Amino acid sequence: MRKLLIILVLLLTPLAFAQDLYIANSANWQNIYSAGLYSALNGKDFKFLVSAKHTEILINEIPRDPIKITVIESDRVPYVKRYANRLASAGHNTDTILISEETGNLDLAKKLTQVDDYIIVNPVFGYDAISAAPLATKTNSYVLFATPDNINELTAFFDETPPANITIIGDIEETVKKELSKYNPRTIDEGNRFSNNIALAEEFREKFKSEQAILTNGEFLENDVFFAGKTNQPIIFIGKDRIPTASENYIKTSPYKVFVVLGNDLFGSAQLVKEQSGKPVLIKFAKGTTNAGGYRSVQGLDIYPTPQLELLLSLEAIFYNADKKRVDMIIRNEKTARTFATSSIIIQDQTTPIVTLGDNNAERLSGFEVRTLSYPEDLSEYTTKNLTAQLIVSYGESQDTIEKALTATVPLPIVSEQNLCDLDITRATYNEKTQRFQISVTTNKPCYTRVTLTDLTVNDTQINAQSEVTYVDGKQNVEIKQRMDSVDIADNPNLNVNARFGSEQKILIKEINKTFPFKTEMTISIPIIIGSLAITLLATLITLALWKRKSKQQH
Amino acid sequence: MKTRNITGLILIIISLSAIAYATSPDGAGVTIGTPQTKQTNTPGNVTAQGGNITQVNLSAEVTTLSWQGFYGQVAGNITLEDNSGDVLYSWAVSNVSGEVLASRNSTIDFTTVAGIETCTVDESLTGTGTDRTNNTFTNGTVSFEIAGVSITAACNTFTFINNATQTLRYQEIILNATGVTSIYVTKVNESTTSFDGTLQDYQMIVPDNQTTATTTYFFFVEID
Repeated sequence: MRKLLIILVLLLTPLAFAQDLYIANSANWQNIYSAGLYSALNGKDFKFLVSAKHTEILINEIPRDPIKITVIESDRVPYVKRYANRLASAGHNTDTILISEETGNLDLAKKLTQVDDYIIVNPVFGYDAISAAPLATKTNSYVLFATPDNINELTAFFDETPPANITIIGDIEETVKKELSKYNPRTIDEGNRFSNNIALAEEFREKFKSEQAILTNGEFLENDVFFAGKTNQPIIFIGKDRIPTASENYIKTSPYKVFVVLGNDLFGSAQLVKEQSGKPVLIKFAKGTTNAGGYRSVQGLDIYPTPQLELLLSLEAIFYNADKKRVDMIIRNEKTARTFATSSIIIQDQTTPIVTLGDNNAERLSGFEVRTLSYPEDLSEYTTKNLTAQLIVSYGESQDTIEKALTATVPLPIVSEQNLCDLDITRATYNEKTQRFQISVTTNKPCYTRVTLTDLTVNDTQINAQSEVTYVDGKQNVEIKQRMDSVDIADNPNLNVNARFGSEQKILIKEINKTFPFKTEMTISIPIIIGSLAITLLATLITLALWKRKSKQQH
Repeated sequence: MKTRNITGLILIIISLSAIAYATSPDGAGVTIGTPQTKQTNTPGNVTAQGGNITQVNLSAEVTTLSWQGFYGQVAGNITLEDNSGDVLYSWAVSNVSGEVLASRNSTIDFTTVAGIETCTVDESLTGTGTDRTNNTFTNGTVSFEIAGVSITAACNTFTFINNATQTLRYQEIILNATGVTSIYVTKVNESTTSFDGTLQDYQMIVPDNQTTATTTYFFFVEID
């Protein structure tokens, strides 16, 4: 009888200390994301630390009754070392899963023995991972981050535990794509984060008949990211400043009944969704922890930022070219990401509108490109007035994902091309060794110029490669740094060269366009020359020696 | 008739705090309130006067451990601004109307909300004393619309204004949803006198576990 009781106690003990809560203790978003998915797939509650200070705050949010807590802790960047010890001192039954900062995502995948479906995303940003989370947790799949650096470890894992299904979401590196092709993956890549997101949300909605969706901007982690799938909700991205057209159309036409917006920061967008869709919109904006009848402040939601696609345009200059009868606006892409922009400019006399100018199609700006946008309009009769330009430049990562806006009201100076320098482009070549274009230009007097190679195909994508503003007096080469491999060179039989120039560094009024056939510059390095000379000399000496020997033999 | 009334008044003190989420130019403005607490009452001091029959009313107010109060403001702007944050135009979100919802569940399927009409919900938290749920909320006719669902009957109460009972504003009801035991809901009354005379947009009470555990609530606002 006693033995039976002991056995019963032993059997019941694990139940009494069932794993109740997982806590992520890492300052790495990929670790937090992986731990959140791991918890959701194990059916456990989940919390994550957002700062060192939070380590003590979180303890007050955990029930005081002892529970089983597993801390998923980064080996290199935890907010506090061995957080489990602190929780144990508060009376909880604790355990730690130590994960590597670099390989934590895969470390946890290996522990999920019940999972054999995987979703692959590129972890450069968090958008695709956040989009994929509801589908992953709902379909018992795990999201793996794949890069050229870890693809061998990933394929080794797959070779050891063959996956049932692999789905690739978004744009992943070519080498990763190639390595994964042997597993016959399905790919969802609609060209940008919003379109990928909509494709995933719609697939989820159709499959699970969702009536409610979560709206967020894909730039932070919140617990709903991990548990939305379990509660039958896909995630739809909305912008912070405005709702991209693609998302707006999807929200308006889809049969969702209710939307829940994550975070107070998106209040403005939530209002727009409400107005545009006419459907109920709730904003999850805060949390509050009670303390047995005491009073405590309500706090912001626990959120952790993920890497964001940074888009930022700035206005360089705007002026009226009286000779060409057009308004030129110079905008600068301040970030590396390719950005699409569309402009609307109201030309005013004081505050009285004269004309509204604008683009029919969005213009594409390469990373860090400075672009002059020209709008033909005869304002001759107003050149004596105090003209101003009220402009709105809307921009985003693609033509249908315009989500940001640059706005300004500025004076519109009148400029003339007369008495300015003249510039000609005489030659364009590419130096494969230095990976730079050399553009030869000549001027009749001192001049500033910025040279652009337009619509250059690099890695199958069209870009504009650009020089810095360069001071030229007479004849000079202007350099444009651009890496090109043999495929890129073959893809560009011609070079379209544009030079903007003028007497003022920031107002390059005039322009010239020329097309040249792609020519590579031959450069021979000194070691090659020395080597060649040495080989030639050696060959000559051998030939002479042989000739002498032959001559002797004949005599 | 000589009577002696010993009245134990247990008042639900709305302990107050505000939504302390960072205010952004295009986000809902949230105001941090000064935490307030019930002052300890001084026991009654009665001087007996010879020859008179004195009626002594002993009153005591005890701060409840079972309920937590929250209040705050919901305001916001929709702004058109440039990259340096300079605002070109701002549309004030005036005439804020809607509801504030508080639940212990982080995610709620709002398409399944329904009014709770049996007012013993959450008594596992409040206990069954004088300040239990059933003594705080009463089932009755209400008029709310939450996530497109019309709520016409639910356990409801009115929290105090200016330290006094009232039935005009700050009505609070209890809902449930699939997998969610309770959701406490009150209407947003823009800049309305609250429990302590200050102007607030909402105030509400939620139950707390009076014995061993802290309780985390998640707050939602539905914009009408």
